[in-house]
Amino acid sequence: MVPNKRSIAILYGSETGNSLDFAYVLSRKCRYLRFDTTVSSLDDFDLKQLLYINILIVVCSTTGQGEIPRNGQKFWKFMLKKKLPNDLLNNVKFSSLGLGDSSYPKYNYAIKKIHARLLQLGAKEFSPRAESDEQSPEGSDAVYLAWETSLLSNLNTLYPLPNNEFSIDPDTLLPPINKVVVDTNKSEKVTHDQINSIALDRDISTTSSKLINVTVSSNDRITSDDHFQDVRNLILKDPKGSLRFQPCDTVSLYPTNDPKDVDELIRIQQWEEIADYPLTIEGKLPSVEGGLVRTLTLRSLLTHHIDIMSIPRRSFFMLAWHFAKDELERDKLKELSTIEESEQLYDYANRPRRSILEVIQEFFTLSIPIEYILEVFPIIKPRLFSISSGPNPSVVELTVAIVEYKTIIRRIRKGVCTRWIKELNVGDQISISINRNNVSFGSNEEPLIMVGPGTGIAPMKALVEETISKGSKREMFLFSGNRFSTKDFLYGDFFTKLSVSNKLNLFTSFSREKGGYVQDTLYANKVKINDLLLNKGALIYLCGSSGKMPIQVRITIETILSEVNQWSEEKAKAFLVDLENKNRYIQETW
Amino acid sequence: MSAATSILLLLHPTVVSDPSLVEATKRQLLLENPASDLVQHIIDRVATNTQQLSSNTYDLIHYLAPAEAKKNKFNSQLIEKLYDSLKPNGSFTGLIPDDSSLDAIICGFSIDDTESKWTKISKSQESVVSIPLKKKSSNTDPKSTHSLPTFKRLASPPVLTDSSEVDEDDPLEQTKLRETKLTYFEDSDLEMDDGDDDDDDDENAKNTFINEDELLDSYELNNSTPLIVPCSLSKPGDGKKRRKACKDCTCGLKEQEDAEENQQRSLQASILGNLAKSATDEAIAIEERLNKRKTDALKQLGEKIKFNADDLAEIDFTIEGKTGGCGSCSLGDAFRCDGCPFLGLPAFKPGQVITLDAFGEDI
Repeated sequence: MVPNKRSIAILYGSETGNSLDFAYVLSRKCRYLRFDTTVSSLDDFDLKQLLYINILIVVCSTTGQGEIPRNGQKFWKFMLKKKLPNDLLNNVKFSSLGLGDSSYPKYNYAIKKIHARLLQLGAKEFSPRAESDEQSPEGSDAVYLAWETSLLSNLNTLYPLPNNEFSIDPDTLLPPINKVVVDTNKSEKVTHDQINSIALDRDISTTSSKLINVTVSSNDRITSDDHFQDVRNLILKDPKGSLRFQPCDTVSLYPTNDPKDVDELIRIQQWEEIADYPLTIEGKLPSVEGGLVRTLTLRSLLTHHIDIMSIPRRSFFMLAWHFAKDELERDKLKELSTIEESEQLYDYANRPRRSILEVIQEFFTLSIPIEYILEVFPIIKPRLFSISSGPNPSVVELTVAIVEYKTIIRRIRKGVCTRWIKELNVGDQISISINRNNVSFGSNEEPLIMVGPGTGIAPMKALVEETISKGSKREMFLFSGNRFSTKDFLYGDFFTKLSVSNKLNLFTSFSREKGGYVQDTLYANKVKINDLLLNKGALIYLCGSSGKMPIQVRITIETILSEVNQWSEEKAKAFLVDLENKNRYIQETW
Repeated sequence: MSAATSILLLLHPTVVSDPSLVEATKRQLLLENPASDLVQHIIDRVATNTQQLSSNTYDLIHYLAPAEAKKNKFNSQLIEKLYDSLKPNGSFTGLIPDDSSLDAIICGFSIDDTESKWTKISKSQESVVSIPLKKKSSNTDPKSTHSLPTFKRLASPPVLTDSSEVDEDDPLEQTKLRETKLTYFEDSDLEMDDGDDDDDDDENAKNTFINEDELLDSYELNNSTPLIVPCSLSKPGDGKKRRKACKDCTCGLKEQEDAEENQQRSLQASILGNLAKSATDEAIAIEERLNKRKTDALKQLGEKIKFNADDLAEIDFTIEGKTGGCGSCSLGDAFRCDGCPFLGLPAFKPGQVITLDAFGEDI
């Protein structure tokens, strides 16, 4: 294989899809400049190819406490190897873009680390890097635009096209990368009413996910009927007893779209005639977490893999505008695809949480050619849930809050996955995979302080169950946070019983019953908390939604340390940082 | 394109107190060697082994020291260290200490006539062998992760081939080099996919992986080209308004957005009321025109009704002064004006069949 000077690999590390979108937007620009362009997640890229490519571009967000996103961890583990020589990548010219949000203390850490490591391994920066901050007045888009402008100009200077070649007119429609072809010569397959069994039969050869088929054994609502939110306790059973997990591990679920939505898309795109014939995908298969279903028809592809209910991103409009017949619609779709109109895109798509299906519904002349569907639409991502039960090879439990809300769009917004979960029946079979997080909770002797408001209680329940089942004498202090003792006290009976039998020290906070929030209850018990942390070597485990809660809990702990010990603010902060470094302050937020 | 040169700037402890001198020297070195990597260390730290130098790494080592320091002879260990860390044909310049030439020659340097430069002769590498490169490098390995104010390039396995010597356009050379490099990737697939790996074994991990947090303080990162400054996307008259409320908005923007949404929803409710009324009127009209159709047509027509352009124009927009006159209201939210009463409702076209189902389950 002869390396090509004009070959570019654009790799993304993406948690929510922003990096992925920027990677695709950039790749389109590069393809129009006739660069030989590949886009892939960091993990899906064959690392050996790093020796054959000339130009590498990394777009990466940061997750957790300054970590590389989930789809870049394999890549990262390789890069961190000590034995790699410092000229390993001296064939590579690169640049990087970090997507960050300064409301997280370690924002953009992932891209900083990747960039530094690439330099260490001999790669050369050919165009200045950039880091964005979602909190800045300009947002990420302005940073991207400046970075892209300098990058494309540097590419043009360093690797100009041969004299007889010109860049492609930006209005040209490029051929599809993964061409989808429906074979109407073969016989039709029935794929409209066997959604569950089709979902179970997947080709996992292209992914590293290990799938386990489980049976839904219970799917009960655990909040009262008059509570605003429906929270489910989903119990899944594996008759083969092959489940291996620890507290803090998560389960990936692979949801399908609502058949009604799929039917609607098929109807408005006039695909009824071809929807149920076998379908093939040309080119290197796109990587799909959990694998593609083996029974592939247009309908099954749309049902199981194509994310028609997600909010359309810029890359959707960049391609979609080519396929609208009406001039007015073409222009509008094209307008929405430009960085300069990001505010309009935000108001049109993100703010009302408009789905791709709804966009297609109202652009009447938008008719998407089948061969392009894998490029126009994103792929459905698996959803991760914290395990809420203790280790058991045959049973795993999840706590799922059903997502439903209103925006200015009349129709109620529903989460694709929670809609799917809501409709799961006892006895249904589904495929799951387990993600090991390898979190260590000390040596089983130090007391545990667990803070889990809302569904953050899920991994706490797993930890409590595990500790009790091991017969451990470990002291446990659980701080739960809910609105009402009678409506949404998740697993209230379970924890109350343990508390009565002195196996657990339970501290509840019912915010709508004047009970305050978890941080208020922590503060009310400041002497005890301080003693546990200072003298008993206790661990703190904090879980729940990201945003204000983890910040306020942190401030509260700092305040407790400084008030009880009469320490300076700095000393209290330093103590907490030290706890963190010793893995005694563990935070898992989403 | 030839590979960038790698420069080590050695500082006498006293010059550190004169940052402008150090900066000027750096600028000069970078000017003479464009596109090069520059690392700096205090010479004492190198001499005392506090700072390890990796083998075969630098094209140029420059010593910045006050003139008085010329009297301080380099010992042979230090000279060997400098020799070892230079690439073949690399040179040592700057302040050359007195009475050190002999040791330098013994070590394998060639000294130019003016005694202003020591050059590492590549062919003498074999004859001198004072420091076997491979052994040395594995020795320095564990120390390479020391947290230091200046980052040091990884000492672990020395460069495979002196990259500056590889002709980028020679496919044969490139292929050979690549084959050597490929060995580093061989175990990458197997190892990574193992979900139950034993990485929690801290000791094992420490020996296998570098400490990623130290990358954040690395010299390379903090001295690479400055970050790109964002373009201004704000349009004239846009002011400094943020595009959207933050996740934990406390400034009131979120409330404002929510209030707008609520207002929009109540507007929609009245429009839908009007649509329903208009639909009923239309149904009656059709009924009259068609005459003697099924008596329950009215109920069914609640489901499917055709509008024509006139009907749409007649719809009361509920806000005084507003009509559908702009002609964009029917096209959908993407075309509607800011504040259009139809925002949030589906698009519809004159003459198109509208199913009230499309309005959603919660009309």
